[in-house]
Amino acid sequence: MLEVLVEQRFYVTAVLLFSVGLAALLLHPNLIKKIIGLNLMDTAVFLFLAAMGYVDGGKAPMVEPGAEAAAYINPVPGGLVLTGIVVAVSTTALFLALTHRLYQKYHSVNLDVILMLARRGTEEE
Amino acid sequence: MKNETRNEGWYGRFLHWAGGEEPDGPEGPEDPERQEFLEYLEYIEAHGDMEFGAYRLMRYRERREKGMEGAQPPADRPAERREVRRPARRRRPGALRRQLRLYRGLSVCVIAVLAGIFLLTAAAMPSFGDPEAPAMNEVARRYLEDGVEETGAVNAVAGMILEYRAFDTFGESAVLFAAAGSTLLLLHSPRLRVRTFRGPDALMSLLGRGLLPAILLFGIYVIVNGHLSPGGGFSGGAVLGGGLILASLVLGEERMAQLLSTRRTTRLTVFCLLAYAGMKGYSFFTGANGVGWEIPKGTPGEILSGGLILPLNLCVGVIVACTMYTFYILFLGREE
Amino acid sequence: MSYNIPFLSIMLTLVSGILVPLIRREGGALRLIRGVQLGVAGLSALLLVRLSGAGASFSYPMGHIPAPWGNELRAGPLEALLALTFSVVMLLSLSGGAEDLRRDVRPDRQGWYCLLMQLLFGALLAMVYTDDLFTGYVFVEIAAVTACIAVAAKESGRSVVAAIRYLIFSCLGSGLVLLGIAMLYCITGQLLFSGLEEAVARLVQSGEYSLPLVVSALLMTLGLSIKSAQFPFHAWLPDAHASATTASSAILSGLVLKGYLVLLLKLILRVFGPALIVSTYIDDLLFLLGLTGMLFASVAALRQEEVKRMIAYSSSAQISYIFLALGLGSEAGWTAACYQILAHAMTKSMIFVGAGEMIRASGGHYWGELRGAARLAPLGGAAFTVGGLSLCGLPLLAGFSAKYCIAAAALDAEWQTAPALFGLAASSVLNAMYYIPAILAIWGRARANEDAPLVWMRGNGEGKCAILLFLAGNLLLGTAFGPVRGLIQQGLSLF
Repeated sequence: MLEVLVEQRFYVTAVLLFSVGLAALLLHPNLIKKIIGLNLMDTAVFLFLAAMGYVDGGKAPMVEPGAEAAAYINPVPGGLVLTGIVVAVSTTALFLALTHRLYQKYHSVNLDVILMLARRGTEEE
Repeated sequence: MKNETRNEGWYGRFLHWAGGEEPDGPEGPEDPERQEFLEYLEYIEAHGDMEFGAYRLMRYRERREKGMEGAQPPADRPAERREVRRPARRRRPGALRRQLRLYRGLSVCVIAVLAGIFLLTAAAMPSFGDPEAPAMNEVARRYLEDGVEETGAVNAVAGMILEYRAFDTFGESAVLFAAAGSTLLLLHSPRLRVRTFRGPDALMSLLGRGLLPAILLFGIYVIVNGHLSPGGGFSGGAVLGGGLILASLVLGEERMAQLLSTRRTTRLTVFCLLAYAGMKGYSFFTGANGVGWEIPKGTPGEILSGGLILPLNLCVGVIVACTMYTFYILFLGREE
Repeated sequence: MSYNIPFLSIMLTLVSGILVPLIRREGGALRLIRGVQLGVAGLSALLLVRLSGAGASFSYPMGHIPAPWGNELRAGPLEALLALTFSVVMLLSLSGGAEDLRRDVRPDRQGWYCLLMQLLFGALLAMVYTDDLFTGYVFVEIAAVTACIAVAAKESGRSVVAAIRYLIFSCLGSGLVLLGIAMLYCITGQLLFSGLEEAVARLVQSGEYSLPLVVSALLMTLGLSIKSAQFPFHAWLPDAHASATTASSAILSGLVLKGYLVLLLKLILRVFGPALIVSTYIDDLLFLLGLTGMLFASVAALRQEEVKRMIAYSSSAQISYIFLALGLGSEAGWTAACYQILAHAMTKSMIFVGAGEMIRASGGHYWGELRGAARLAPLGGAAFTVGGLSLCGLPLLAGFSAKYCIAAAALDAEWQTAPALFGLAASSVLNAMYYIPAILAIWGRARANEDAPLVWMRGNGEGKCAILLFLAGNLLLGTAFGPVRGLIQQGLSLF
């Protein structure tokens, strides 16, 4: 079992990081830490994808005409990671913008506090 | 009437209400935990962001210093709240705290189970670096073997994302645009705010002015050579966006706002997205209908090769750079 | 011509959305996007007629390169029907909510709001038509970002809080879906549905990589159920739908949740295949989630004192019907799920628009303030009444036909028959328990001895038109049961 884990170290690291990110996203009341958790989660998936694309002895896929495919790593996961990064940047920006708005209004980045204040706000409204 | 109706079940109350009676009063029974929480809320307004645990510890210490006496609530706490016009939602005492605790407990369990399953799965995946892995099939092989001929791009990744799977990439640019639009909607305000940033210091200015041309040039190089070497619109655009942010730090925001206002970056982004949609729309349409009329691919390895990949990379680069810069300007909180 | 319709409708929608910032005239943005939606509805109707007449479906390569290498779209009668319904509901929701939109969203931001809604619509169309897993993911993300901003656009403190909770759950769902896609790609090497179907069938036959396969199926199901607010993950939904502006609530509740479900249906039917889903008990999981969800969410809806929150909980209950039908694991079950998707899209958007009218007329969100509101806004009241009765299962309305379809499908199931029928009956009774008192109250008198006359004529022509069209659509889905079901069955067989 241990041998397998060592051989698959990149996948193992990726899923562990994913779980850590998930925990931070779900458990931390602090919104900034939630954002960090979200990014950790996404990055873990990128690590997973990047590790999947690697082929022993492969080069980066700058193809010279007429070369064997076996000489290069798989280009598909690279493209997927690129897309994933762009999506992660977008959601992070939106998340930060919402946090900024909430901070302006409630002067806190703690989600529990914000929820409590928002409930109090609606009752007093 | 309040007290009478409160003892009934919720459905009884509901029927009473439907029958035309007023719903009962706004306040549920007084909740000690809620009181504490409200106190805590007032406390954090004075002390910045403070975790609930730290607050509890502090209260405990306070009490111990006073000889196990219960700490008095702050005197200046507003005792009465404003008159409530609307019927508030009834909540059981401590409901929020209990919900949160339940949520935390459940989350921990779920995460632990998921992590275990993930580990088992990771062990069962195709082994790392295996050239015979299922992912290295005829799809990936064609991108590598015939990619240069079919797209004219030496960089197989650029060929893949801008030719074979270009629809994904269009969606991706649209995500960026949507994020920029959302951030603008949330943070853009035409009013001028108080300045928080007072111009660069001497060292920053000196270093920045030296670095800036190199960074911008490098960004442009990465974009333009996207089909020949690692990089492309997204990476080069990010470099360029970083350069623009540095420029704003070094030259001062006012000068940058004259050069590149939010309106202008938005227009640039829109223009580039439209150009992207036009080019790709053309190639989707002609490709699907078998019209022919393909863009000439050029000689692989030359700068003017790869058909539409070079202009597409330029568009993507501008979109990414403008979006990054827009994010920075908006989060800075100062406008035009 | 009809061959290019899927491509044209997606590109037209996205391009018109992108064009919005260049429009200067006030109100021009809303007019442009609604015009395009009308056009897309027409094109989809044409496509539906052509494809159902010919009994055919086709793939549309996006570019010069064929299927397993390039992106691809796929269209059949079911996709065309979904696209038609989505565009009609989108158009009507935006028209019905236009008045509230002008009040709730700041004038300088209405253009951006229209832009984002159009991108959302484009993303929904792409989710309906796509034949590629990763394209599906990218457009799911567009929908997540834009739907979140649809909630926050009102810019009240409560709506921003609701939006951030929505975003947290949404990101959680996307993270799980992305990990699932990564695992599936790792063991199959395919991203297109057609290629994936073969590769998965091969893996199932050889028994290789069975654990990663099941885990990836589970992850994607879980992620999409979080995003579509299925019962244990529905915590974000009531706040998000209740605090948004009317048009956003109608769109989010009627369409966005359905978009993810369409993708889930595609995953079940096209990628993993019914056999794998049944043998790994994922269908039973979906069934149980649906069953508990429809009861719990209905009970929660009973306890709400704010009209939009009640409707939002009722949405969660109705989504559970779809999960229940998907969990039956039979052809009839999927047909019923599609029927419920269509019926609920029509009904729930109508209820939200009607509630919006009443809230605007009476000026309060809480039941106490809404008493007698239907007399101030009779069409809004009518929309709420018809929608509520439809969800309670009054014959000739859309909700009844969908429930009938689910019940008929449940009769042929194995052990699920009794629980499904019990769930349907109990949930219908619960629906009636909260909708009927509410309907009585809104038509009643605000105070004793006060007899407000009905005010039929009061501005806002587009809102009235939208509600009338909604009512017509609801009746159509309720009465034209046979043809619609026939179309869905034909579409599923050509999927």
